[in-house]
Amino acid sequence: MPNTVRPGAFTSRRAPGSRRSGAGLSVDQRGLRNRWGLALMITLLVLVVGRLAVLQGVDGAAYANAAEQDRLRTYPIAALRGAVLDRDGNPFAYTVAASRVVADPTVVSHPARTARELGPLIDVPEAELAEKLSQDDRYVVLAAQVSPETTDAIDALELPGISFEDDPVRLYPAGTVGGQVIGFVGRDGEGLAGIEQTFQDELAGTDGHRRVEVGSGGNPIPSGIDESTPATDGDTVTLTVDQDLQYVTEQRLGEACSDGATTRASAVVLDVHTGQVMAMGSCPGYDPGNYSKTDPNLLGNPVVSDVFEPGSVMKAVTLSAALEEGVATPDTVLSVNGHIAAGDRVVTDAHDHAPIEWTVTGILAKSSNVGTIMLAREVGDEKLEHYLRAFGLGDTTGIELPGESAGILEDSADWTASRAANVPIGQGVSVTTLQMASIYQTIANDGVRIEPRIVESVTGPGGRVTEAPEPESTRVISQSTADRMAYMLEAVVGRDGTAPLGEIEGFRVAGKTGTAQRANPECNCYEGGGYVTTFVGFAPADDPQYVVAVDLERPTSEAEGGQVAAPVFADIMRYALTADGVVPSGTPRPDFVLTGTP
Amino acid sequence: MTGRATARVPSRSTAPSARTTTGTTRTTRSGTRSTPRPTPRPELRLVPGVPTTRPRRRPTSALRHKRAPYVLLVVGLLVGTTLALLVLNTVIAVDSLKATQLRAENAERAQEVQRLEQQVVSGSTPAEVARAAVAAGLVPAGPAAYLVIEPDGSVLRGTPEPAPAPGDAEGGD
Repeated sequence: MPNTVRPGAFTSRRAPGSRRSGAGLSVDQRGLRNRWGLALMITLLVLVVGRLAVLQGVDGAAYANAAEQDRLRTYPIAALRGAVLDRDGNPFAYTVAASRVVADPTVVSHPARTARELGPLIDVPEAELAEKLSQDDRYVVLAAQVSPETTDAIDALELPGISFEDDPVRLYPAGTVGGQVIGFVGRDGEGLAGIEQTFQDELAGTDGHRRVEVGSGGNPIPSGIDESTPATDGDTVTLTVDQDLQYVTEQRLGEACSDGATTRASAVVLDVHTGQVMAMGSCPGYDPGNYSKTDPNLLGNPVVSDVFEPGSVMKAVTLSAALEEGVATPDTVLSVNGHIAAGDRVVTDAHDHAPIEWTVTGILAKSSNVGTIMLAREVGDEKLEHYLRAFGLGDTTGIELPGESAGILEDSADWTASRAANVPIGQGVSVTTLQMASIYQTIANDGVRIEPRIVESVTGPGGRVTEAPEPESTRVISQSTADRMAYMLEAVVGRDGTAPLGEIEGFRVAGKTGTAQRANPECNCYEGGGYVTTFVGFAPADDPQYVVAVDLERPTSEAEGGQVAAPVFADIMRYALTADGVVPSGTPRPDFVLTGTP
Repeated sequence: MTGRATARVPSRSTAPSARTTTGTTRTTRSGTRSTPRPTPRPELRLVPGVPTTRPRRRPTSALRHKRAPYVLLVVGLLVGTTLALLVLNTVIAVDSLKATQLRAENAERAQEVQRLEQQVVSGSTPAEVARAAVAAGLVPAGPAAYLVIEPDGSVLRGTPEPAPAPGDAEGGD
């Protein structure tokens, strides 16, 4: 059977070509078929052409874009944060380029070997690296802020799956010097304190990016797209601070802090004629480069944010008011008792004494509370408050630093009898070290107060310099009052005054001591609070150049400002004068009449 | 096709075709051609008018000679363009590689500058200068004196003090 071929098995049932010729269809049917066929063909053609048009014309750009995106790699270019410089251009803070080492574990072929080679270079334990490199992830950060030299070394190993990203490092070369003024930057690049915080917008800059067309292996195509939007580096902020003076100031405060009794010491140096801050610091300070390991309570700037009752240094304001209002002259003699009743309290001098015939100069030189209160009562509460506010108390100075305190000064209308007796001698009123310095800047500058400022200029990346706006300057007391105040304040530093230790060889010094009871933060009372000892002064008294304000917090000591704060003042002032080449006073110190007959 | 009305009309098709207009009589069912046409087909004749197709001219050898430079020109242009493109691409690629190399060198220089600047900065901070000064045996200067010619003839202002011996100096300021 298999071998039999049936006849007709290979003969076509239809005549050759019959299908094509439409055999078996009528002419009408054939026409119909042709028309339908044509319609079908046209429909299909329209569909195809339409789809093509949609792909090429309507969606074309999007598809081309998607294809390009597939070949394009975008790398961020980190902007370098601007530097913070001192007045001579020495950097307090600046940023250098560094890299973050990242890995794509899916590309890393030998995690163990890679970890062994990489570990010593980036100082990460091998086991930790190996574990990271074995993760089922496409992006793992292995090390941050790696120096360019290390990056080159890693690059030379040609390890697959390891790459780098920009990760600049903020450096504070001066360490703790100026740390509280400069502040620091958090992990996310946000300034969190000091100038870094105030000038965040100027310092930050704008990140850029680079887009490169790469082949399948991830290597750039030589003639392909390679376009960069360069990063705009941050502006440079130039301060009015002198780094050397800042260093000396902090060294001296550090010494003061290590005397066993001082828990906090602050100082500020102002230029008399411009109100510019030449140095500002406190101990204990901190290193901005190491802020994360510092007690968070120490990360502020006490010179502008901590307030204290200034004590006798405030008498300069009371006496300025008395002179300006014509209540007294430096030679007016008052019979001053050892104590004076003030409401329900009795205020005494440092040591109670029988009535003494003191001149107003004598009252200041001996720092008599009673004499000052007598003069304040002549001036009147309302007038006294006016002068206190004119000297900048109870309001922020507007310095370019965050967290500035306005201090505490109640309205004179709310003063009780005892408060009215306390305010003229610097109790019941709180100030910052900076406000205290500003009072004496006003007296030293012939009675014109210039708001203290710490920023000199901001320089853009192109070199365009924007000078800081002129600070507000206001006349608080007349020049003659200022001159007479300077004369009286010089008596304080003399042999018979309260601060002979404030003297500087060759220079005439004017200043005032202060020893105020410190509020005990535990009970909000004066019990066990110890003292805040202060000294504020300017030199040379006959041609003032600098104001230095010093305050020491001494909870366990009864020493007075003239004993502990004045020497700190003298050391800082001596350096400021010597370094600036200020010629010693050519005139001798005048003789002061401290007592007289009424 | 429609003209061949008498030819092999299938037996199934019984309906008369509307287009069989050449014959007046219908063929019998048997479909044989035995019956002669009663009227003869009209004779074909030439209609004067525009010829539908131009007779193709056979290329002569003269023409072939004329075409040769043209072909050469086209081929030359093609080859030339290709070569030029190749050269251009190569040059661009070389430049691009050179640019990449220069960029890398530039980055290296920048790194070097950054490293050196860092050294200078860290060496010139007040603390470092003070340390180096003490190490070199220097002592902090005491109060300075100035020479100023006064109206009374004296020239010295200030009280100069001899500096302490290096070992005695305390602190760095």
